[in-house]
Amino acid sequence: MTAVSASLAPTSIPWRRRWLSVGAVVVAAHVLLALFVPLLPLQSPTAQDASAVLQGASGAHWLGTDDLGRDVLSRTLWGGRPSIGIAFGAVLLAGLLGVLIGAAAALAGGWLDDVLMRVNDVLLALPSLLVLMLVASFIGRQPVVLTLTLAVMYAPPIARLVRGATLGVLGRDFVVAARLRGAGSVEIVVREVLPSIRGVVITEVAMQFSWILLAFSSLSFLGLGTTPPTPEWGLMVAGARTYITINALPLVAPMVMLASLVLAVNSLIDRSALGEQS
Amino acid sequence: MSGPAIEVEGLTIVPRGAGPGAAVLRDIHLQVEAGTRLGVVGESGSGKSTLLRALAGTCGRGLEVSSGSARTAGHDLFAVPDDERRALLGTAVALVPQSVGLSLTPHLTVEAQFRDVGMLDRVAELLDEVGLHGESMRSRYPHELSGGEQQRVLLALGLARDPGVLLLDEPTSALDVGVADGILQLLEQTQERRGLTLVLVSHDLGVIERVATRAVVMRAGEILEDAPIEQVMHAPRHPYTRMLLDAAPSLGQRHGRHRIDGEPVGAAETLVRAEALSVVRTSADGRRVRRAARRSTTALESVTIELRRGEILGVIGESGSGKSTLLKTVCGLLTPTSGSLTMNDGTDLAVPLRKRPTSVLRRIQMVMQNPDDSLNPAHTVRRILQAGTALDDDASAALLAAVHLERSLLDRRPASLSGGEKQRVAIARALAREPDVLLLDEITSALDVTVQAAVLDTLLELHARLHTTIVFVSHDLAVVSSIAHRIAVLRHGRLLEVADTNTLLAEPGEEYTASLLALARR
Repeated sequence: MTAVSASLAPTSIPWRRRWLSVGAVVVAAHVLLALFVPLLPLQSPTAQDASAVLQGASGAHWLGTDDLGRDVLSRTLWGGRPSIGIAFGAVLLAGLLGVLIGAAAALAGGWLDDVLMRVNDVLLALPSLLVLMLVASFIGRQPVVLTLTLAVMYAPPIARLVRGATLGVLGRDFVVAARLRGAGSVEIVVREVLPSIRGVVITEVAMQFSWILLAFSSLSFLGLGTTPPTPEWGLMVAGARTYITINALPLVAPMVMLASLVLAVNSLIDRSALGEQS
Repeated sequence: MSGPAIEVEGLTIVPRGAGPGAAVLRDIHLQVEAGTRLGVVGESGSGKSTLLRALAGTCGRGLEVSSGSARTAGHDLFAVPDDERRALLGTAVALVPQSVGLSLTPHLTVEAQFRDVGMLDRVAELLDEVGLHGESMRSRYPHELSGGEQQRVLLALGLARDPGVLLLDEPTSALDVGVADGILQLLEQTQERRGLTLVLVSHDLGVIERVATRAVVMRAGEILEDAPIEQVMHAPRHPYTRMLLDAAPSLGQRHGRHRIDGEPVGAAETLVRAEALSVVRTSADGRRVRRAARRSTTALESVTIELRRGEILGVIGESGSGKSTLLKTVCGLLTPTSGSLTMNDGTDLAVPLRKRPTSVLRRIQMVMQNPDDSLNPAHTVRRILQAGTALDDDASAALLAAVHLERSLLDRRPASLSGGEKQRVAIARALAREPDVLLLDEITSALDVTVQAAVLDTLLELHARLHTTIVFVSHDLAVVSSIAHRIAVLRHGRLLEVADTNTLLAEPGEEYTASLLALARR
């Protein structure tokens, strides 16, 4: 029993193994690119050239051109900025909302818990893309509106997880000890509960980042997210779809970027979750 | 029967891929004659459970046999193919696992548990043999059984296919003394009737002494002593065995260097007084349960008791006796349903926690039973000690020094501390608030005997210096009587008697107390 568990206790995973992985490098590359792409010596992502449409890869255009003669490489590299920016803002807000609602529901219990969680259930039941399309059509497609909508639509899973994890921690003796020293509810959540559930919450929030990224790209693909001619992956895929038989590069390049970011984020979560377990 | 039923030769078990330096079992030699009773004793990490499992031919996840062999009932269980070994388990050798609450499949009735080992037709006979009579037993689910009944069912399952060798891992450590005594008697009778070879692992030398005729003392994967039980108990050869014997508290023997004798300082003054205190508890504390589903139980019934300044009051009782409820009520986690609870300056303690001012909260501190649960794993010891206080590092280090811990522990987290160290940190955390009353809820029951002795030592030393009033709750009468001035006996939520320790030991006022004493003296 104890002999076995003692000798088999996982040794803590070194910092390097936990954070230096392919996933981390790819995510970092995406973020740096989104931040610094204006500094790169690229052609304009919006300049059209009617004489050179749907060209293949060449010295002048490394990834060819799209149906309006715009440089695909430049558009692909610029195309992450709207998605990553909005997804990042939305996921931070969603995380904040989720933690607040989940912790409040767990602490309060009773009717407040019931009300918060039933509202949560309703939001979970709504197809988020449909809601996004409605909001984009009727309220507007400004980044602020979309960010807020995404945050509200993707907070419920986080709230539910935080509520469950908090309930698990609230019954433990170290929380009882904190109550005995006179700590209030806020202090208990901030000092005792959140540090203990940090791992699962970070994992869940990061998972939602991937979903938000995909949701926003889908919205752009449907023509309700970013407005043309702004370069954006979803929008590029939508525009290049028709010409796939003539030139696949304008379609493949943004898809590769989107897929690599989502996969990299997920692999990064796996790694960090591995570390949290020990 | 004759000849050895168990022959272990040079058995070494190591974590998979590790060298012999990290061995969990090191070069074990052991022979057990058929039809005898062997006890294996050791503290946590001694390898006693690993040895027991090795006798059943398994070595636990992530472990492997690096050398040596173990023959049980004539079979080298590590050498035979897996399916053959599975066939031998239960018929030649049976292992009765440790944790009573987790070892029966929860969704199967008692009868169905037997169906799984193919012994449905013998259920009644087997249950009779372990002292569980009546038809109703067969259709019950594990959660409808008491701890003792579960242990008996586990034993019956082990006996189901008539094994020659029965291996038992801590069969009584989760049970109340009275219940444990019944199980040990049953084990003896069964062994004699069936002529079994019995190997019993326990951390408790008292349990081994009752059942075994020969004892093996283990530490750090090695056998230190292997001798007839009388010799181990009365003339141990190895100093570690002597240490184990000395560390185990025995009735009426005062503990350690700072022994408690005579009257406590300022004993005339009553510090906390409970009058006709009753607590009704609703299931799951009622908060999340629909009203119709709530079940109320009276956890404390009309308890009148006073806590005197500077004393150590021992509280003893079986599980369900209300001893933890009493502590939780005093510190405010539970609110009394009726009766009064006051401090000597008139402060009313019969109010919920959040209605108590911080100054009152500070005066009553509690240390909880489970050291793994009472410290936040995400925090450093520094943060744990300094939470809600104005302590600086020097003051924290002084507190750690008071419980005999190094200053360097400030930067460590609970996961890197041993059970004893964690419990010391928890005591230091309580002391940081300079309480008038220190409530200790079974603080040593999760610890090894030698660690328990050291923690009790520290506690008495602190008491001699600070004269803090202490309430020490335990199920173990020997521990309580070794440190308390007075002892209160609780049963089924009622206070049976309170008396000076010496008086209670010499002339118990209640039959129940007398029976507890008798069990503790065995």
